[in-house]
Amino acid sequence: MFVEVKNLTKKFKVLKGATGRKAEITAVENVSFEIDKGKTLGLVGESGCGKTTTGRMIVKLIEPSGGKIVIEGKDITHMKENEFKPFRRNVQIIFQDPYSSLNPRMTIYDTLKRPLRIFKITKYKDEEKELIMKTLASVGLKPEHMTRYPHEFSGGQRQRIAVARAIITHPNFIVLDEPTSALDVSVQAQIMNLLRNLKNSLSLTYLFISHDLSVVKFISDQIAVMYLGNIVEISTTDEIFRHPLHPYTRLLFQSIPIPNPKKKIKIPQDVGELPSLLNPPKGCPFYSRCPLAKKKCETLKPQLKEVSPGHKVACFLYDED
Amino acid sequence: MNDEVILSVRNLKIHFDTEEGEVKAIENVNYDLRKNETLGIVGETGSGKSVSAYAVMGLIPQPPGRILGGEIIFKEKDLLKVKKDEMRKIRGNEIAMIFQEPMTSLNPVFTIEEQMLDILRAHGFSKKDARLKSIEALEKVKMPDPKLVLKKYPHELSGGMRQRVMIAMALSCEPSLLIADEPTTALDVTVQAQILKLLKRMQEEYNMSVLLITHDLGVVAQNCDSIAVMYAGNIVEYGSAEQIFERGMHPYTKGLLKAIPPLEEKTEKLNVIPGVVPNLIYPPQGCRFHPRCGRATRGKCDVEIPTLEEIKDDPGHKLACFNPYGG
Repeated sequence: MFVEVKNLTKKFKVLKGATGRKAEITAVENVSFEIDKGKTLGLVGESGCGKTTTGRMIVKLIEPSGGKIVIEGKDITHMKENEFKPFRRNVQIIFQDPYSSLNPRMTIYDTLKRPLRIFKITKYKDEEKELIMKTLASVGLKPEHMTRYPHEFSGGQRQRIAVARAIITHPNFIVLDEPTSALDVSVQAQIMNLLRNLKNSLSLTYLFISHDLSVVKFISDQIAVMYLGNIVEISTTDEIFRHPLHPYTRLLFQSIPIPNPKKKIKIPQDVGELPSLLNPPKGCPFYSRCPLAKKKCETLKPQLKEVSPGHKVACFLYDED
Repeated sequence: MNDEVILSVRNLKIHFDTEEGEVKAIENVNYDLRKNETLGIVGETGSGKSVSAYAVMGLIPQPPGRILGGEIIFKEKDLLKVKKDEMRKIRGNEIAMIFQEPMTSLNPVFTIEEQMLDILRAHGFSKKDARLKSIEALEKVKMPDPKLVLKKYPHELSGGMRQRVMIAMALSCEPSLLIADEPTTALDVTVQAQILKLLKRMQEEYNMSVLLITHDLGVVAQNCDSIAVMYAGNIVEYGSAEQIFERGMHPYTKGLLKAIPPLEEKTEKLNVIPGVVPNLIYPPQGCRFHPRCGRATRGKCDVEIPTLEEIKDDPGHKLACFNPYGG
């Protein structure tokens, strides 16, 4: 097992209303999963479900409030920055917006040389230049791009630069937070193919965060569905698409507009919207929108349970007793 | 749907002057929208899909925009020739529009009530009637507790609720044409499904025609009767949903459809359209798609501009290509 996350929780302090009363929201609640070496876990859910917070906690950009993160057998949860530094090289992140994740005042060469110097990966300037050129080539960019600035590139090219920056330190594990959401579909296809090829050629392990199920399906071995800070279902990609169990997973799957005019989607009913995290449901997080909710669901919270090998769901519908 | 054409756009050409040069945003756009029909205009960033819709609303700022030619015939009037006052009356009353980001299209410092009344009063309702009418409009979009919602400010509503308010406002004067510019792009997929279902229901109720602008091929497949595929300022293919999705012949249409990761089967590699959308200050000669097209022929596609023409044996299906698939 390469990455192991156990009971990960994040609470944020917020100010509520015009009077600014202090309140606390639980953005991520007891999230647990494992990713094997060379595999991809897709984390899907709608805005505010905690998928980005989860991803950022794993690369230690956000301090968790509880739980533990183990990477390659080492507990990194409470490591100090200087202890964590050797891991930083192995654990990278790619962000959604390639317009704000690159420094506009640095040339591509400067952007890519920084990680090399921080981790002292190359000794000589020639070596550094060679590695930068090689990495740029592996993401489909040309040597002459090195001296240019981010604004000279299109969105897709910028995302290629972000990918180059992430892989230049030879990491084992990359968190990808909505890496194609800001791109057009034809460009998205280019980046998705690139990510998949790199995963195979560099045997990378991915945590792939997205709201787009078709993209997640393309790249993931396993899928975890998040709702209001909780994982409600987790299974292999094939299994979850064949037998989605949680009512939320089903609603999510039914809501995707299929690009085929002959297959019209059917939306069961008006199911409302996400409840506020400031006022979360007491029992099952999906209670307020669930067409199959029972009395019990209002007050009791279902736990994630294995219902068939490798398929876990948090729903009372699948309770034996 | 019947055959009465309510909107007819002919040879529309719009350029913008910028510091870098003249952006040739719309070259030659032609389409008809019939009564009760939903026409989807689909394209990627910079295809000109939004500009063509803004022109119908008379919302192209001039300068920097320049409408260089064409006609927009709405109910026998050329909207490019009507006076400003008259256009103001048509806008809102007969043609309404909803935008992508409901947060920025509502004014954050006024309550929903103030903003809704404003519109209705501008269209001649008394204060009392306007209030009743706005409650009715919110009920129509299935807003829970409309009286309470009226007292709220936009930031107190969720994205889906705000879009419902926008739809209620747009439809409060019962327009015959609704322009929806990426109405669900900012929304989550479960909310998107509900908003699109609502739009469909409202269309049937008001006998509206809808111009739906989107980049999402799934959304057009699910919601549109006809589809216009735009690329770099031109419509490259036009037809019914079936004609486009099942018998699409333009290399761009085909490429776009195959670039979507499929939900129903497994793929190892996605189809890619190489290159990027051209800079429209210096658009390619000939067919604007030829530098990215696998079927382009030298001496033809890079020289001559293909025009949108109906395909033989497939009535209503139009194509602008010299070397289409299956052609």
